[in-house]
Amino acid sequence: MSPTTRKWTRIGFAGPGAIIVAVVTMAGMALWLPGGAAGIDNIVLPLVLVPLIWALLFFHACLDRKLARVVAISIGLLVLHGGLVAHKFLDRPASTQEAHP
Amino acid sequence: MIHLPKEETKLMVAVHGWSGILLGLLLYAVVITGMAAVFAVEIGEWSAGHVETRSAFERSIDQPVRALGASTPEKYHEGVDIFEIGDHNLGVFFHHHDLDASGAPISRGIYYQLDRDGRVASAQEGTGEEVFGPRNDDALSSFLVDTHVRLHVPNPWGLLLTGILGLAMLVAAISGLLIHRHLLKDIFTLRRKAHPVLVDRDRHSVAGSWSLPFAFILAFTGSFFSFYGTVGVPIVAMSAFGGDQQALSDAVFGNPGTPNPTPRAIGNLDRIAADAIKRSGDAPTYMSIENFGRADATVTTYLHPKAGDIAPVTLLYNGATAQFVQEKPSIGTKPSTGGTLVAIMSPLHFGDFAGVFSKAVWFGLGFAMCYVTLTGLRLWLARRVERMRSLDWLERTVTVVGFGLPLGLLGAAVGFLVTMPLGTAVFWTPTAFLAASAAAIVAGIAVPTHAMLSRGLQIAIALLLVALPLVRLITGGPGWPTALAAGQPSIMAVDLAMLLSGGWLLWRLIGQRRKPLVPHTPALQPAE
Amino acid sequence: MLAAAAILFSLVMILLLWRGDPKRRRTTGLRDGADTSARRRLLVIATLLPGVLLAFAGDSAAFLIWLGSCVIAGWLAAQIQGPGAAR
Repeated sequence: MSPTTRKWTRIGFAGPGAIIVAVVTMAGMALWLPGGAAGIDNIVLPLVLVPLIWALLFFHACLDRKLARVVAISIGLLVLHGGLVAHKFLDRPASTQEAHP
Repeated sequence: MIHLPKEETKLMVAVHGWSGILLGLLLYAVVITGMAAVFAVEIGEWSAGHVETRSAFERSIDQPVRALGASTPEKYHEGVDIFEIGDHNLGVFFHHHDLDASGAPISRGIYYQLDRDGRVASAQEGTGEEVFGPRNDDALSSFLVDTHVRLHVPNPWGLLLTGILGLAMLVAAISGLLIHRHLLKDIFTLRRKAHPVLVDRDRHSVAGSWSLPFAFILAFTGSFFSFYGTVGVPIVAMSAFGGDQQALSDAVFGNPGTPNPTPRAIGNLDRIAADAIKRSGDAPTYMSIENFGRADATVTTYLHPKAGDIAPVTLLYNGATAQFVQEKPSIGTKPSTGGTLVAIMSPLHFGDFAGVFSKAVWFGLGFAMCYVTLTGLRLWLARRVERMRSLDWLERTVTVVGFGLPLGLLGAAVGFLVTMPLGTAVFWTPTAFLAASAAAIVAGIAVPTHAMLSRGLQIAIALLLVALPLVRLITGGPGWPTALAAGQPSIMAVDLAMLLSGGWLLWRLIGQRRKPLVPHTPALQPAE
Repeated sequence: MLAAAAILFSLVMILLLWRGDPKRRRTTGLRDGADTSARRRLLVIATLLPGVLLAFAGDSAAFLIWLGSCVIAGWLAAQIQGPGAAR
């Protein structure tokens, strides 16, 4: 990979990439986090943590020497959480569903 | 403190510098209004001459609310919010939950504003967005808060903007920590007789290093507030509730129970208020009724945190019988990690959990943040202005914004004080802000040297600070004896704060002589 | 009040840290009198101790006020010019 491609890949993952992955991770986290004592942790924790998730993704994309790792982690998170959300939609297209009873 | 390899350090310096310079001026506007907004309540009391110290909840609310209920259409009895407005008067919002065109939950109903005798001073029908606007007597504090929350840009864009600024501050704080190799060793060092770049660098890094933990907390909580309603809730609702935002809201905030629509008059609200006061030692700040006029009505009162805690106390009552049911967490039906985390976002951001003591500390921290932001901008410029004369305009812009904003806010205060007795404060407060800011901009263009500009603006700020208590008195505000007799300390406190800070600033600017700078060869670290 | 005492104690420690700070003394022309690293470590621990105690006591309000006060105090202390040749 040429240095220019590497640079733009890194910028892509630190910029729009971090935003997209953070938002999709937030959506997906609501589906696998446990509900906790009041049954709401899976809803509120992603909401509270999303700025931190974004910051972690941003700084990781900037600072990890291994660009391959940056790509792998970002795409991995995107696919995993995006997949969870898509699975939920395809499985049950009806409107109101609670994530955890 | 953290030794990154050279390439990574250079990248972090670039990230830190560019996020700072591109967004710094806007961020400064958010931070300075945030600092002032810490004392929004006291500023409101000071500016409007409010001398009532008893909470509206300590006077009778049952009669007024019951009477309003009788004259309000039943469709708006789904929820009733009761809170204080103006000089501890009552505001009551009868509403039902609805969805707007995009599916976002809104409240639609009638908002009643009562005067101190309990009579209806105003009744407006509409959505929450429409009816809750600035009033004549809180126009100044509303202006401050609105500038801070969304820079007066309409929703949702204003919130998204301030959210992005919060993230920029988060990035600046983290990258700043990563850049500074000798953070702890340098933490008391402020070189004064040195090259301007070093002087600015020391000022910026000392203030930034000390305030780092709070920069992180304030940026994080601030961006949470901006993003959770605009982006967070719709997306999480889509994923977990198939898009039903109302269902999400019920899951997080609702009081589960078997519905019982049998009509039944609401229980005695004064009894509930008295019980809440007895349990917590303090009057409620907010009261929320669900299903007013039904057998399954519930009343939730929100109170200041218990001593030692920072999250508010929430008490639940049976609406029909006015009996105490339980103390519940603010979020969720049982104490939980998630609930606690959300509940502490507000106190961590506003610093109002321990009255004037915590507010004073948060105000000081806000001041430190303003200082960090401005010195950062000046540092970025100082490194470049010597070799790039074309950046003179940017240097002037930073000075105009840096000092022009506080000047504008003080101008808004003058505008408010003069026009509140005339009933036109809602228009004139922001207008006065714009006028004072325009004056600063004109000065920025017209004043020949940058040093004169900077000094002139600071003197203007100092003069306004000292003049404001006088303007307040001349326009009919209560004097100190009246305020103290009514047990209202805020008025005298804000007056004193302005006189002291204005006086100190004047003494510093006019009294002291400026020392000549001795240029050295700058010994810059690799991270510069 | 316990919280006030905790804050006051930490503020005094911060002033002591300021006084003996090696780099500050070097840049203001004070040749000696800087703290040894052992003394600095001790002062830092002493500064942080009241906060740790407040946290363990569960008084989160006092802890936050303590933390904020230390931040402001440290920053203000750094502004003090103090005795020294290069002013």
